[in-house]
Amino acid sequence: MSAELACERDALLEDWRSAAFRLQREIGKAILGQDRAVRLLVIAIFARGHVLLEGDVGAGKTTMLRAFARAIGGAFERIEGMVDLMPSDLIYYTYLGADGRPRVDPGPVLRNEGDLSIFFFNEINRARPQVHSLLLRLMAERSVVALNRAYRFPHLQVFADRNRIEKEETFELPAAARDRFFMEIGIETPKDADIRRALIFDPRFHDVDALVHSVPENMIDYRDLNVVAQAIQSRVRSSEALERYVVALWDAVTEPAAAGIDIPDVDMERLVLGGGSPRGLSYLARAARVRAWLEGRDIIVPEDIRDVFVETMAHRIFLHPVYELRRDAIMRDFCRAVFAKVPAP
Amino acid sequence: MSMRPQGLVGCLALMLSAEAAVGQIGPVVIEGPRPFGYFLGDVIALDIDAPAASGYELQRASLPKLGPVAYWLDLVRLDVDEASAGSVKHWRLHLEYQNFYAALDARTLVIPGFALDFTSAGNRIEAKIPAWSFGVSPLREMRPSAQEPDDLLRPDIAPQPIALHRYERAAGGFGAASAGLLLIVAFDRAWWPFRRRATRPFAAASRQVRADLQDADLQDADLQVANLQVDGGEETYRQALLVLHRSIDLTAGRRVLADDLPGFLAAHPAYRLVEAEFSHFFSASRRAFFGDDASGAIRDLPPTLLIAFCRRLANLERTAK
Repeated sequence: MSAELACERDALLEDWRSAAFRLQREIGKAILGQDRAVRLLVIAIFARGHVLLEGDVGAGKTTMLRAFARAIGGAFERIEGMVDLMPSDLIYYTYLGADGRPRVDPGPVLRNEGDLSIFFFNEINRARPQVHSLLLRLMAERSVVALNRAYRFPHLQVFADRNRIEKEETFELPAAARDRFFMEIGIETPKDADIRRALIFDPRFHDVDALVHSVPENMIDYRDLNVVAQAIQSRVRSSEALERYVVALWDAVTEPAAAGIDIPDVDMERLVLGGGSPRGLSYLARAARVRAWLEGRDIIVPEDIRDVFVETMAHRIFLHPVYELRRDAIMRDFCRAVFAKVPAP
Repeated sequence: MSMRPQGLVGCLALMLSAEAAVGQIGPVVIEGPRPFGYFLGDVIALDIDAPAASGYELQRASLPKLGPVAYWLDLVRLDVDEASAGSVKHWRLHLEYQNFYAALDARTLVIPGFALDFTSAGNRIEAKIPAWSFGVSPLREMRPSAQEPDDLLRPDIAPQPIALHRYERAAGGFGAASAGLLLIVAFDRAWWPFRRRATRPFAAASRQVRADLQDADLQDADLQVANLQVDGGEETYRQALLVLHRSIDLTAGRRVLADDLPGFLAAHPAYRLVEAEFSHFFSASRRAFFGDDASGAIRDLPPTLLIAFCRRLANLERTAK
């Protein structure tokens, strides 16, 4: 790349960085007490990754995603996961027209085709595995074959959420589907007393539609995001020391006992069944690059990796079934122990 | 001092009671030990055999009672058994008398006789057991003669020393083994003298960094930069940074990244004095390792400054402990 082009790219990226901050700020005004989740979503948007939100009921997952959809612009589609939802329900729907003839129209996925920027799957764990597999293709290839032709969604970003309270009539996401999510972000009820008070009593937060509409529309152009994401990835460099560090982290996650990691009441030899895929690690690097860019750096440092590690990696680490029930607590301790053990640089 | 007879010295007494029908009670036999040479406290065992026609039973109430017989004589044991031999039943009495007579001269004493009753279908026969006499002697001479000292009571034999070497050796051996075990336990529990001195990672790092960087002959600041940029000097510099990184990790007990500095200083307030130097170090390290700009890092934090920083940290570490 010539120096002139690089200079132009850097200037462009600087503008986009301001835009990213503005996006973060505006969403933060509407979604109180979720600064970290908002920041991670911004990282996911600029890394073009699909996001799974998991968390408490009524903590604002859906509102947050709607707010982002409004700020990014483009077509937004949303579907509710249900036990009897079939893949065809996403592709097309049939009805009787005013003239009494049966009609087949494109469903929520196909309706806007290339303009589709955010596809929001609510309560994803209520849908059947057939639906998950359609979603898998949509996420991995950003295309689907239906109604005798291929549809492409170059700007598509899938947001999904699931609540972690209910287990009845739900289908656990298969490992392959979870692995395709760029991040799994946990949304928790805010801890700060002032924020809680505001959320309870401030009428601004009672009308969700009005709240979402308070976010400025089309703050960034979704059609530019792919290019910007690519520019970020090529602009931010990773040194050999950092790459070695990430490999060491991966080793520690895969073989925690060999790395000398110890968690009380956990047999480290048995804990991890699968410790992240190469795709997962590449997502980690992608997220770290975007974080470095947001921090105004053109190099990745270990802090970038650490900041996005739990959200990009934890859902790809598969634990022995004995420990699966205590997953949240063990995973938190495990990630902390890994970073306390692996030397950087 | 029980004296059972070795060779039976039998004393036989035959007695027919006046009323006894001939053939109802056989001759009563007393078997005793030697009838002489007894002292105060000796036990004398007498065995009495009284054969009676079968059908006649010994009346146990007629047996002598355990306890004092006279002021100088106790009956200490009495056993009775019986054995049939044809038409005769032998009643055997085993008596043990203890002599408490403190004799002043040799004399003869008599264990008094007694009568045993046998009954059969209303018939009653009395068998008389005769007295038994024996000689007692004084324990010590009453009138020692000065002319015949041999008659005097001789002094007790002096106690013989018992060989204790074996036990002394065993005690020494076990003592040594116990001391050895104590050492092992002390080592295991890290008691004194195995308690390790509080580690001083910064002191060690300071020594190592100084050794690493001074090996490269780097006294002059400009020369340092120039020298480090050739012949693997950058690697040496990186190595020195790594040493300091590891010592910071050791002090914190976890890996410390640049962003963790405020937390580290809050936990170890002694190093607050060098907060600016810490930031400087972390930014240089970031440049050297993650920015792939070791020469820039060397210019930013020359070896002399790095060595001075290490020395400062080591000093603070000493005062902090």
